[in-house]
Amino acid sequence: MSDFENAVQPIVKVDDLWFRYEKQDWALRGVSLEIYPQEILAIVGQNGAGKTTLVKHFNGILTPEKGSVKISGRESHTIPMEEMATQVGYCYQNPDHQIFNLTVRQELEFGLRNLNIGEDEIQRRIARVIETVELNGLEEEYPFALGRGQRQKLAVGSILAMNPPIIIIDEPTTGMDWRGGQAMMELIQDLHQSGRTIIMITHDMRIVTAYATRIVVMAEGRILTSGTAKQVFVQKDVLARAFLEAPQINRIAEALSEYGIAADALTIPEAVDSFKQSRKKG
Amino acid sequence: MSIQFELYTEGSSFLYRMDPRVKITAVLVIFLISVLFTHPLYLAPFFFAILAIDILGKVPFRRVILLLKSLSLLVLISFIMWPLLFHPGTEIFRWGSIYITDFGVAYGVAMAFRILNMVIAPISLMLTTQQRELILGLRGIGLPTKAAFALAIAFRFLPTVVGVGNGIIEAQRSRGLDINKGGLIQRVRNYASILGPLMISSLRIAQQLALAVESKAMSSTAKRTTVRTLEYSKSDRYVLLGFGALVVVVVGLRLMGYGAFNF
Amino acid sequence: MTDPIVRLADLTYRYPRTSAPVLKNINLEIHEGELIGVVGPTGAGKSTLCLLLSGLIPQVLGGKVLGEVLLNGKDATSTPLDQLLLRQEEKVALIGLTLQDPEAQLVGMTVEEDLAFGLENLGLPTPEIQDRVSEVLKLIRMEDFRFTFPYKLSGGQKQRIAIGSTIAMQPKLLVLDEPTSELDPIGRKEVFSVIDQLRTRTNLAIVVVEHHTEDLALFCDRILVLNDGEIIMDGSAASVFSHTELLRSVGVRPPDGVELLRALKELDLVNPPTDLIRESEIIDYLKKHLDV
Repeated sequence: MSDFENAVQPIVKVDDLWFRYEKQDWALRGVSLEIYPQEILAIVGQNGAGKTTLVKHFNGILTPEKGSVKISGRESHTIPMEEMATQVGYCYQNPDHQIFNLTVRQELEFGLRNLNIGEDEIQRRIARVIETVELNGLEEEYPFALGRGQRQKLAVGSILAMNPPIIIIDEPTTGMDWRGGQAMMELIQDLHQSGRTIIMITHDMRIVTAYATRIVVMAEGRILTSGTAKQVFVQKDVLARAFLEAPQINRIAEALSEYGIAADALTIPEAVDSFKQSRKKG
Repeated sequence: MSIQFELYTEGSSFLYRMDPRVKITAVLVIFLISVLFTHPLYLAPFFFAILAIDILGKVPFRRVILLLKSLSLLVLISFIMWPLLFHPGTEIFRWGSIYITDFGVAYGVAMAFRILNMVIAPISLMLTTQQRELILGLRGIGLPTKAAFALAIAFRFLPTVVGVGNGIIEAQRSRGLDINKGGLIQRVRNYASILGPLMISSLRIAQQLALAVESKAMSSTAKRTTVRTLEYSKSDRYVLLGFGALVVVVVGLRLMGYGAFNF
Repeated sequence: MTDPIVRLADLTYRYPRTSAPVLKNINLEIHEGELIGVVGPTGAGKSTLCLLLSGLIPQVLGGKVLGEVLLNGKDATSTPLDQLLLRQEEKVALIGLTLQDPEAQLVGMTVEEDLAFGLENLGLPTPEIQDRVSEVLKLIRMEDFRFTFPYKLSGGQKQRIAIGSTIAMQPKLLVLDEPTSELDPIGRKEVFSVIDQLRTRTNLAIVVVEHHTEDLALFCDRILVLNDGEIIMDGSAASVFSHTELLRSVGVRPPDGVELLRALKELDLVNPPTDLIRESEIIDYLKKHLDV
């Protein structure tokens, strides 16, 4: 173990977690995972692989059948929901599953009002959050008059207002076009840079490649592997077991590896560099 | 996740195989009998007959028992309250101003059997009939196509809406919502946080559904057909005939003054 | 050439109670056997175009149409719906529509009932409905799920059924509005393999709205780019996807492989023909190039 890992305690620690929905097959079969502060962790895998079931243990919505899930050292399911909201923020996939207020401002205040926070503090936080999620000027708008991308930002903002150090985002870019997705990912990067730990579930391997500091690959309720994009996307057997495909650039680079192109090139600049070098050698 | 949306439980017996139209007719006849008769000695045999048919027809009995248990309070209340409030016939017991009569007790017993008959019969139908067969059967006995379609959509989308509802509850809990907290106004607001998104999501589903349905030949002027049709088997016909005869006998008895009390 | 299945001429459309048109000056012909991909940012009018091609605009959803909309040679604004969308005597529908949400468009209590729904409306005799359902089940590879409650299926399976239930009516045009946007990668593959099957086995014209340009590059002959209600590009997949800068400027992400070739070309490392857009073609080209 490096000095760094010795010094830093995991903020989420999952130990041999087993879980099943009533009377059904195991959805999680012995998952162990440590998440460290300030990671952008991407959990990937097909639907039904157990991704959502796993992260729902992080904010105590689900209780382990076997094993344990600790948030900053405490069993997650023992933390009261109100306190949990200030520890782990969970942005669900569909923003419309939580938006119900008549104005953007009220929607952002909802969580804080559940927490009995003073009015001054609420207004201070809302002002900050509105800046962060770029909804300035839309405070009094009716949320459903906003576009999908803005509603997603509003949903993230309402979580952010409670100032949790850990943020879980389920499918941050689903249903958005390329620009919307990019804006969302920039927001996530900002949150990361302000010191938060990000856990995201996504099917988009390009997003994973571009933004995640670590990738966890799941299939059939187990973690198959975890590591950086470079470490994960070269494990073709693991990808096949999880029914995942590396991003297109990596597939092309891999196909050209016998011609001297780096098989772990993931991005266009990397592939171009590798191309240049193979030319020099040639 | 594990909510059961359908009472139907896999099985095989003459009851499972019976044409849904016959089963629905049988339930309607039981209803008629239970309403016409008010005498316990006329109602009780039907109760035991239904139980016997359920046992012979391999209706999942654990679920019937469960049902009887949950009904027991209602049955008990009927059994106790009627005699206390309804006083025809001869007084048989008095305690201060509270008294009961013989006919009152009998009426209480009769009403208990009425409740049992009118609940167990349709539940037995649902336990042994798939929802789609039920709809096919209802249409077979004359429910208009549109009403049958509405019912089918309700059955079809119940789990969908419940699923969405669960997602919404989770999302709001994650924002610190405790639904039972606060005063009246706070609680109304709590519920709004779940019902609001649920309504919007349901409307979205309804909109997409409407477009999908509309694009599937809804403008057709042809007479609608069905992918499955119901055929009465020989035994189905005999059973129907039997129930027809039963109705004649029951109505006859009732017209002749049997099966009810004459106070 | 045969008559077009769709002909839009100088079409402008606005929804009821709105002032800004959603589609502007659209000119478009769609012919038998074409597989057309539609791309464009959110709000470009892609869904509206789908509803227009399906004949639901303007007669079901209202709104104001300027210009000409001919579906199978009939005026979509005035022809009675049953004649516009169906051919009753042949018991077929002319146009099929599949939407985004896999859950919301399945009406049946079983897969069979769902596939049969349109055929029941068309009044086909029962045995014939069952035959067509069996055929479609085979085509979408769902034979084992005939009596399954649709709610219990995966997103990809649901979407295949949604496609199947329109295919059962043997339309001439199939319109798919973002059929994969809510699916995982397996589901997306499943849907595109069904689309590919349909293309090779029938003369059906298919219009599919899709964000993943890599998939479109693989399957489509022709690409439409919509932006702000207008068709800004209409051409072969190769010609459209080679305009990477224009695509990016309207918020459409070109296939990564095409971008790679372009980056290499700018450095004078390669000089590929402009019509390379498929992954396998790009790999083959680069292999040949690296071989010398």
